[in-house]
Amino acid sequence: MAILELNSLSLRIGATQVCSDLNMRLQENQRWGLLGKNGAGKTTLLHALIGLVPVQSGEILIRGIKLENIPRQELAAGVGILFQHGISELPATVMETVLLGRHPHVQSLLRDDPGDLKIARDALQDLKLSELADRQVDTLSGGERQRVALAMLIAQTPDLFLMDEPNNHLDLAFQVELLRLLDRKLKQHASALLMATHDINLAARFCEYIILLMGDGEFVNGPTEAVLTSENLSKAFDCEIGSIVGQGRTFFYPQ
Amino acid sequence: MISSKHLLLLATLILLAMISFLLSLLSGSVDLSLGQLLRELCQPQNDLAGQVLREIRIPRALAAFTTGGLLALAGVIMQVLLRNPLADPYILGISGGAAVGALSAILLGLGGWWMSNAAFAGALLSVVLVFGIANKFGRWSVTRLLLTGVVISAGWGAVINVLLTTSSSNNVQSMLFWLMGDLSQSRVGFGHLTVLLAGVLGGLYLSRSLNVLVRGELVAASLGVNIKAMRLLLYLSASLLTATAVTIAGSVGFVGLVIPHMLRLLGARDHRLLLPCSILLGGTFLVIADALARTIIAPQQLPVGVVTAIIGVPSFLVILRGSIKK
Repeated sequence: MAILELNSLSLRIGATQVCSDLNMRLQENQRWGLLGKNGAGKTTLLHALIGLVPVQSGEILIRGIKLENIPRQELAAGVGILFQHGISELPATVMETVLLGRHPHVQSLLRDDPGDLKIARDALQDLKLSELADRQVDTLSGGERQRVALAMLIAQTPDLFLMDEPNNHLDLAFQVELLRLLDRKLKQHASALLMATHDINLAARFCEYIILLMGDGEFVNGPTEAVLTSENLSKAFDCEIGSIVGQGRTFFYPQ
Repeated sequence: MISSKHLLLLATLILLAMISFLLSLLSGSVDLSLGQLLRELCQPQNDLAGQVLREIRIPRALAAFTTGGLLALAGVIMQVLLRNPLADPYILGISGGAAVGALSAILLGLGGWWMSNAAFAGALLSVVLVFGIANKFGRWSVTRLLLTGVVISAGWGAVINVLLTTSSSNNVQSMLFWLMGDLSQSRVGFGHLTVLLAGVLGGLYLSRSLNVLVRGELVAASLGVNIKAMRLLLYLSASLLTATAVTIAGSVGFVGLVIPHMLRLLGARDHRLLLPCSILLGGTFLVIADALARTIIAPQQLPVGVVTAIIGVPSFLVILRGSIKK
């Protein structure tokens, strides 16, 4: 059964039609990229998938169950999201913040489960944050904060990772590191991923499927090679985009 | 996350609370030694000291502790609801409404019972007004609630000034005491204590959700917290706690703003710990402040709200400095 299934989904935010009649099935172990120009509605679409934004029509199914019929906490245990804007600036340490990712799974009201603590510590290690565990989040750099947010999402152990620009603020080495980590996590837990990004080449390299939003409700979705063509991209981004083949891969660049 | 360091903090606060009670019971115009006090507490005597203790000092210390606890708890909740470090129990105009109620009662020459109930009614009116207006126009947002509260507060301020400038000097004296917070007429009853107890138990039940909500509504929603229900619940409970506190002692400032911050700076950021600690430290703080208010310029009394600021400002600055050094 598909982890996420969209049946003729239509979504609108303000004056922007994000998508009309979008159908897709996102299966276990699949990696999807969500592309589109600024304001095309990538973030809105991600938010709609966990019920933060109402849809116009159509239905969203998570493992075959309608989104509106899934209890909040159960949904949060299965679907995790990385927001584009970080976490608030009230004082908190890195470890405290990452541990919040366990919230949907927590059983006891007052006691911290050793299993949850271990998962949070492992997530810190995954994102190379172990040394910063006791640091205040507001003393960290932008890239480090992004890693804290990523560690929180990893600690949530969802089946479906929704990510809004996961490589924001990350240096090149860490962007590559992150993709490796995500690849590992998806395989470990038979989960799936949908990431919104502006980096076409990163999406081309990492994602097997792409949804390309055109900005007017139109979209192209399907296997990466089929969707990512100079023609489609030029239309979506209102800008001539060329491609070049090298090292067995296709690279895209603005002309 | 709760560590043994946090439990030590909790134990220390409990100890401090007990010491503050003893100090408060010992201070006053009738001299009482520690030995006498302990004897009276174990075996009540029918002498002067016993009467002073049972009829004046114990009820007053209890009133101070309850008020402090209520305000600190309300402060924590308001700060979570508004996610604004400047939020205090009075920021949404509750104390303004209560003040107009209480001051009107004083103006009309009504007694203590009327004053309390008029204050409570004024507070509730303000709660309904602010929430109603904030919800009236389109989408709910924290900023809208905050702005509505601040504006309504300013409105109450104007009414208060009218009442003050048009009253006789006799009345103005009692009005000023009420406005600065005063415990000299205060007694707590079963109702006040129930509100405090319900507040802390309910808060503890929601403490994990509070931990998440502090990080922002989107994050909390994505982690499974029912945002709409939490907003309403937090707004109403903070309002009830504050209204109860001002009914007991007028608008005592500073406690609700500073106590939660002090505790956070001391490391009690987890609400499972922060809520009980707030009650303890808020209560202790006000018990000590009240003991000082009664004794500094005895036989005259200062409004307790003045003393909370006098000892609160420096102690907050010391803790702030310590936390920056770390």
